Amino acid sequence: MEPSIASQTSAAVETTHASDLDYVRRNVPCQWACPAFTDVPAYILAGQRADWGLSYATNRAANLFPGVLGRICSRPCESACRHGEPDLGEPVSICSLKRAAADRRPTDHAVTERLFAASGRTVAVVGAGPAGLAAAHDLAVFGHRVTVYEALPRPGGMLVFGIPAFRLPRDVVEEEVFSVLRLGVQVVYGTRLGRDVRLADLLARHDAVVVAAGCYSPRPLGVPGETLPGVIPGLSFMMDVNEGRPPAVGSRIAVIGGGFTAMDCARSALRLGAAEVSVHLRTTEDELAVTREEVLETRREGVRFESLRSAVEVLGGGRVEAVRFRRNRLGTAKGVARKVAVPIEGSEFTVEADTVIAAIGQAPDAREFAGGNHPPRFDRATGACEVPRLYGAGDFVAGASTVIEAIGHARRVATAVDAMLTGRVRRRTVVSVEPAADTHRKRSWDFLRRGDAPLLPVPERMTPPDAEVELGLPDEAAEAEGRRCYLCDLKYEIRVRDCIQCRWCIDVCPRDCIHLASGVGPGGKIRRTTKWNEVAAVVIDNDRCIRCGNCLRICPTRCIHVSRTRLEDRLVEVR
Amino acid sequence: MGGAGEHYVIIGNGVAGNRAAEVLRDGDPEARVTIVSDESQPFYYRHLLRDLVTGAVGEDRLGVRPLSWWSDRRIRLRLGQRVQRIDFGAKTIYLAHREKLGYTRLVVCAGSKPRVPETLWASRAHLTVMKTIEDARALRDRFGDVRHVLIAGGDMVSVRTAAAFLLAGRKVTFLVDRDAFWPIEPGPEQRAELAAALRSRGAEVIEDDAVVAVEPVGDARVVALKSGRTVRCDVAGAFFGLVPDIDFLAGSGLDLERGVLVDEHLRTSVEGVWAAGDCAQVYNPDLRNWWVSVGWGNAERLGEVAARNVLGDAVRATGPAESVLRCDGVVVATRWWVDLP
Repeated sequence: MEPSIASQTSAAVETTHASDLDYVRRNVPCQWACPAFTDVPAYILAGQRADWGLSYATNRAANLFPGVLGRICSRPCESACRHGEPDLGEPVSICSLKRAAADRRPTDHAVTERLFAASGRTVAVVGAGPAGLAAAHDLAVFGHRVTVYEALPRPGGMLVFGIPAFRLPRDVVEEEVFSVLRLGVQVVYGTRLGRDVRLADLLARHDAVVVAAGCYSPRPLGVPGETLPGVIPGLSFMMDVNEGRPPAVGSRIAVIGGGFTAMDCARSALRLGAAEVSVHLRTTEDELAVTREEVLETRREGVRFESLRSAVEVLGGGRVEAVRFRRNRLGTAKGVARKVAVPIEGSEFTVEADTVIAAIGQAPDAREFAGGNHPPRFDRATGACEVPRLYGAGDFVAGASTVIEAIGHARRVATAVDAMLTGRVRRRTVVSVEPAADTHRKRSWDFLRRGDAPLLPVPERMTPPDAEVELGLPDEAAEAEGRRCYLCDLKYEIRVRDCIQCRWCIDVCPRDCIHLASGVGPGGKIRRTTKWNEVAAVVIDNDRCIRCGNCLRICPTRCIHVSRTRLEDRLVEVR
Repeated sequence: MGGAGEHYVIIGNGVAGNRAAEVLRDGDPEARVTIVSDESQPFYYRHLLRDLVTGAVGEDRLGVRPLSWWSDRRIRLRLGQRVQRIDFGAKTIYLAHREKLGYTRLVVCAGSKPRVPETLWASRAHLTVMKTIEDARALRDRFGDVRHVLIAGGDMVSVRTAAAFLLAGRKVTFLVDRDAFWPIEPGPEQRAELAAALRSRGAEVIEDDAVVAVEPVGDARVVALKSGRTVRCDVAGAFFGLVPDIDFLAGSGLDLERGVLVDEHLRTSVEGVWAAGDCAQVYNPDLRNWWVSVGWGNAERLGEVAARNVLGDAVRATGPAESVLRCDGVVVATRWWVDLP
């Protein structure tokens, strides 16, 4: 069935076998979907038992900023959640539970870090955004002396200069950033790579350099008239707003673009008092990468969405007066999952606007690197490039992505940097399997409905403009939401030697997840049978199992064994 | 093409769907024709729903045709059957009761559903809408206890509904919500005209205000307005127009925006699938935009065009005939403004 995993064991076992990693990929989809491998079932179970401190610590061990991510994460885990499969209802509101842990952890909760002895090596990290801080944290844990060079006057990067305060309160960011910096990480503010410090100097002064400078160069529209006064790049707009010097906006604002920055710009413009804000999309709302909730909240606040158009010219005399668009239809492109925009010839039309915010993406600023406008080719897995001791992490390497992707990437890069400096891999992804004494599951919980976090009523959002919109789950809802989790890290197995093939479990399983098998085929695939005289075993298909425990409760011979599989990035000591 | 091997399936039991079925049957006497609808009532007059509520007409008056009309034409009615998803590759419709239905050609005439502006989504559960016979029955059953109705919005149905309720002796407060007025944005003159007409019939008219929230208090509703005023009423009606009812097609692979995107021949982005009626968003090269339509006449015309094209014609759905309006990012064809009370 799953031959390599430590099945039917009574003690905890650790493994790095590829097939065990693959088991987690298929069976704990939330954790695998998380770029930082956050142990979702473990932290939800801790929260379910009101151990919010443990829930927070489990989060922090993987993603470092649970309070931040509990508010603004792009939630790849929820798209993968088994509860969202057809006929099973809606995904667990995982992100809200992360925030619940951050909001509820006791004030005297201790953060535990295992620190390696000081190595005597120094590492420069460029950029104090999510990726830079994550890399700095891990390198400090490994015992290296870390200096972060930050161009802006405060740490946090996009968390404080890109994301608006109404989505992410600044005190939450400050607290979690401090939790990283207090490991002894030095930060030099107001120092921009290429302006105040040269790459060659950093390489000369430090044993390794990790560039996590993010994507701060707004992508131009590439159309005539975009240099007219009144046309503002989306990121510049957000940075000005977040630094407390909001630009003067007109009354009719057209935001071009459909990403998180575009939504943030539109919502911030409303808070600055714009009378009419519209968002112009190349495709449609359904094709956007931002979450549906984000689009809905933007609309609810009064922003108008206009689909299927691409800007072809910005019009105006001394200042922007209108945008000329071309109509698109939807089409498909090879290798692209989403629908793409296909222009319709001769379909141009004009929309009046006195301010245009162009939020169509950002690129890394790579002028400091030899070869001009393109950064060196960084290896996606390790962050290394052809220049020895130079590494890249986060958006600077991957292009504008999400906070959780940046953190996940930076931590892998930090491990690679450490391996280069010490000659040893000191952080490994490990699967551990241990018997589960209790499943902590009730079948009735499978029918609870998803609870979404309450939101501030729309009229109260504009004053003060940084009032947090999402309010966090109330106590009762957080408890109920925790119970909705199937705890997919539970693994159900039938001990063949004890099974009497009574098939009661098949009668009570709700989802066609227990089968009669005649044997095991190639690749460990179960050969199913319907003939009684061919049955070699009754097996549980963990891919389909929702861990309800019905089989466990009905089994007359107690032959069903439950274990807990955990995927962890673990520090490895050499004794 | 055509003949006994053909199975035309029409999703939708309204004007467009029934017209399409009729044209398909006339054009292809041998083929199977099936109408699927989640409503259990055969094709009925929606504009009589308000009179059903007040008791001015009974349910027997709602039917457009006797059931024999469909049986005579060998059109299979599958009523009360909700489409859950469609596998266009396998040309299979999955119905919510777990039956699969194959088709060779498909016409989507799924119609529309009441629009509730995003700003009122939090209050949705406490707002009354009137689109289906089920909505009307629910309100009819408690209409005896209803004394005061607040009507917010101002779509095609709202004015007539207000008139019917006034006639039935109920107090009506009509909130002319400028931003939510749908499908058009009337000028000051038109609004004044509308307000005068309503006042002359005895309605209280509130202008330049908007609903912010609706809270239930027992069976009653307390409606909070932007101005700070509150209105206590028995029914808070949301009449903000209609939007295409296409949620079941999300993620199916069909090109969608507000409605099902179709070309002038009402062809969707999937081979063998057409869309017509309120749910279709038709590209018009002259407008350089897509338009959706509302109203009986438009739906009937589009249903016919789609069916003729299914049968092999190349008929164009000519642009919106009566008038074109822009609202909420959508071009809408309607003619309702011309027959205001």
